[in-house]
Amino acid sequence: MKFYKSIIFASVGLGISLASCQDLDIEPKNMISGTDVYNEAGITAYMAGLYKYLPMEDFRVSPSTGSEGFNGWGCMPWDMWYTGESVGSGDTGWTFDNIVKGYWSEAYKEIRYANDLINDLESYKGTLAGAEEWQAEARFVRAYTYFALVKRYGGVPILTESQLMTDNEEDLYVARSSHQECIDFILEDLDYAIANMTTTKIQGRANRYVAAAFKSRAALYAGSVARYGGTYDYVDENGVQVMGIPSTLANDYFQQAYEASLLVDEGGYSLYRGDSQKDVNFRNVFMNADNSSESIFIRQYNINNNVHSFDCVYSPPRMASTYGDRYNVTLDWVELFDGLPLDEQGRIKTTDDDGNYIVYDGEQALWENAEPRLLGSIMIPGRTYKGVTLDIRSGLIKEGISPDTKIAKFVADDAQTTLAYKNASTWFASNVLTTTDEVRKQNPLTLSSGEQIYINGLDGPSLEGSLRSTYTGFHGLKWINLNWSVAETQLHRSVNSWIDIRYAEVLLNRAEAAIELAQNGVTSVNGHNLLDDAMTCINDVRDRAGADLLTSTAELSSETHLNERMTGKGSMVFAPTKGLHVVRVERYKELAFEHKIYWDLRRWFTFHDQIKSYRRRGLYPFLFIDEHTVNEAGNPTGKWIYDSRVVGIPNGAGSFPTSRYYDKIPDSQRKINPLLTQNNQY
Amino acid sequence: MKTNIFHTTLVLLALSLGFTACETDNYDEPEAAITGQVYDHNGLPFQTAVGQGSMSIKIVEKSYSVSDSSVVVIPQYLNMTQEGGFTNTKLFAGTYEVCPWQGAFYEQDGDGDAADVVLLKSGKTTTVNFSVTPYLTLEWVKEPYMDSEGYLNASFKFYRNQKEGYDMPTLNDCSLYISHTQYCGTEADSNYTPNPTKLTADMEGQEISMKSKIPIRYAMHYWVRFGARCSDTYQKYNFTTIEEIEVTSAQLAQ
Repeated sequence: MKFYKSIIFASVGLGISLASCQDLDIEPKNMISGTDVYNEAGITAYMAGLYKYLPMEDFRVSPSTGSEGFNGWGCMPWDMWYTGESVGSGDTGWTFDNIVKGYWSEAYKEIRYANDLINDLESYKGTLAGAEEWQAEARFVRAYTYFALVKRYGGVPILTESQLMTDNEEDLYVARSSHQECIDFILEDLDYAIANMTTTKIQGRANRYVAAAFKSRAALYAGSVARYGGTYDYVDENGVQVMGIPSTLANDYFQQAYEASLLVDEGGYSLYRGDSQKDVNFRNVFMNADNSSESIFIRQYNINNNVHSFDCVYSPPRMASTYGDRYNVTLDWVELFDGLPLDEQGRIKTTDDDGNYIVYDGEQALWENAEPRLLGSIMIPGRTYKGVTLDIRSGLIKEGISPDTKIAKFVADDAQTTLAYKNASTWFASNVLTTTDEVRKQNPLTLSSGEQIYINGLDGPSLEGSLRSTYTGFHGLKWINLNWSVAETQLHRSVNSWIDIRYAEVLLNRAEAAIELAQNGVTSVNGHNLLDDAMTCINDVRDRAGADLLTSTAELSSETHLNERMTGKGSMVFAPTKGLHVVRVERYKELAFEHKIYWDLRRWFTFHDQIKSYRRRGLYPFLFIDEHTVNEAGNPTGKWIYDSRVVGIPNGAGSFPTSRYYDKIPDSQRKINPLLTQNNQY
Repeated sequence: MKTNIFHTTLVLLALSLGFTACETDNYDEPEAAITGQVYDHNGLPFQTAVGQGSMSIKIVEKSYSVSDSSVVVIPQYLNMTQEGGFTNTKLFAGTYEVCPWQGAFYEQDGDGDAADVVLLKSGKTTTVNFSVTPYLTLEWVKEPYMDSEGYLNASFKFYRNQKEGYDMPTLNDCSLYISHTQYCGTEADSNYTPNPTKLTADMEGQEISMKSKIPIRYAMHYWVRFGARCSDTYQKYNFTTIEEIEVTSAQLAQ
């Protein structure tokens, strides 16, 4: 009996063990196969991954915390701190290398994933619905990623297939293609995307018009490099021109940029004009990113999966629960706008013809006629944001000094003089009160009437000491979510969308390409008179902004423009001709704080001339104690004088090194790919 | 008792084995030194900015990559003195390529920056000198002096140099640098240093005068030099020598 049992057990056991040996040839459950991916749901998930790692310069650009500069949370230091747009306390010097993070392996990862999709989908055409459109979308992703590399490095290795593991390491080495070949490769991908992508708009996702808008950006870049980058052309040891594009091709690329921007119009995009008040309207371009007719390509965030910290890091400290104050807009940038009193040198005119301060009545008087776009881009003293009324004041003029007193300007405003007020002016030293207290922990001053008053504004600017208030006298407003309370403004909680491409940029791409062509022998394209069209585009942007309109195409002339700072309105922006100066200033005003100007200065090759022994300037208001009142928010106001000068604390001079027109190829990559040549000047 | 001794021996053995793994790094410490001087085409010290502000010396250690081209070596850059000298006493022994790098002078020998190959040995100092053709030669006309209004004045003239086979770069601008230290270069006191003056071809050989932006404020020593540059790829400066001036309180503006 026992024996039988044993046999039964043994045979059952054998049977089980043998049975388990039969079907080992099954698909592993922990790997994703083609059948998982190549269906509607699978490919959507795959594509979402591609979008997540798309190298978009958005709120999560973060050299300090990100991965090769992207997808971090710290959102600083940012490129606009080095272009004359703004400054922030994350880097008050001019360390251009701080924003160069060797974006490379992340790019080739993304390119590999895109290549897999592009190549695999070839065999699904006809069997998988929408295979052609998916493939075109993957080519858009590949072009977008390659452009991020090319605008940094010039020519890079072009890979169109995934490399396979091999015993022979040398098979994996790939040399750089020329700068021009890379651009043409990108434009070819974009042309394919334009021809084959859907026209359906889904926010956060590309369609054929997004591809066209992006093409206008990429081709404009290529045209500019061809026309202006000649001094920095470089042929590497392999005989490949890895830096620079032949100048004979400039017009060709500008024409491609122009035509691509015309195509975007077919998508029905337009400048956002939903609010009647123009400053509010401009602000709402960014607040309404998800629904606006102006948003072409955006990135959305989600509280559970993908958040950023922009509001907390960039709001004035009083409007954030922690951090704050990385958004100190410079006076130079403010002076680009219409409706401000300017002197002949283009500086804000705060003194009369004798050099004595003009006295302004009320904290908002100076801004009364300012261009609405400026008022939508920066915070104005006395206005209320997030429940906080902005309080900006550098100091107080002592009791007993009448606002009628003639006061000579304290310190020269020549963009170079860095003398402290007390050393520069004896009048200042004996008659103006300032404090070294941290602005939000000030000891108030008790007046003879017994009234207590803060010497420094609660939102700065602080002249002495690094105390978390604006350095320049300004706080930025663009992108700040005004629907949030101060308590809600915390790190890792922001989900407002980033606009990567908006219609205003496309209009300005179109205008710039048109002027470049018109000033170089092409008068019309596809029946459009180029200068007329450029004027229409610029005026469309200006009209929405509430700026002064161009009155004739004569203002877009090819006359040489004098490139010298402080020689008139807009003179901080350099350009070869008057016409190009107009459109470049317009870009500075419209597209500031959007990660655009830094790349513009690089492709215009004016960076080293514009940012040369450059010191940022600020505007510092002082209030007479005599005749002062207190406004509804409890902030003192009354008779004001304003002093413009080099900023008090980060007052060092910056010079853009010409080597930074092209980034350094990361050494770590050159060590694993010996064919990878280094750029010139490194 | 026996087991105790046995155990102790085992522990000691294990410990000694453990420590042998920590053999000290026996690679020679970097004791090789290189020093040298860059001269201009007239045999005078090449004037430049201290540090790497207006040029540097590039050195590449070639010992491992000579026979294997797949080894990528990352160059090092040496700092300069303001008279064009350089010294580094903490290099590893080996074979180095050395060349002057990205200054206001013509490329050498038509083939990029021609490098000297030198063998550096531990404990020894190797001297390497270079001769370059500067884009511009700057000469003092009037060395720094104080005028009756308390401004610091000076003047210089410049000559453009040519080198066969190269285009002369176009002129850019010149500056007067006034500094509180002997390390006078492109970084100087911005409160005194006036805005740059644009240079044009017809100014060659002419006296160019500049003065401090505001009257000098304090009686002390100042170090002064002119710099001028061309619109080439690197936009670096050629300089005059540095002149020291002692300002007395009698010379200050009242």
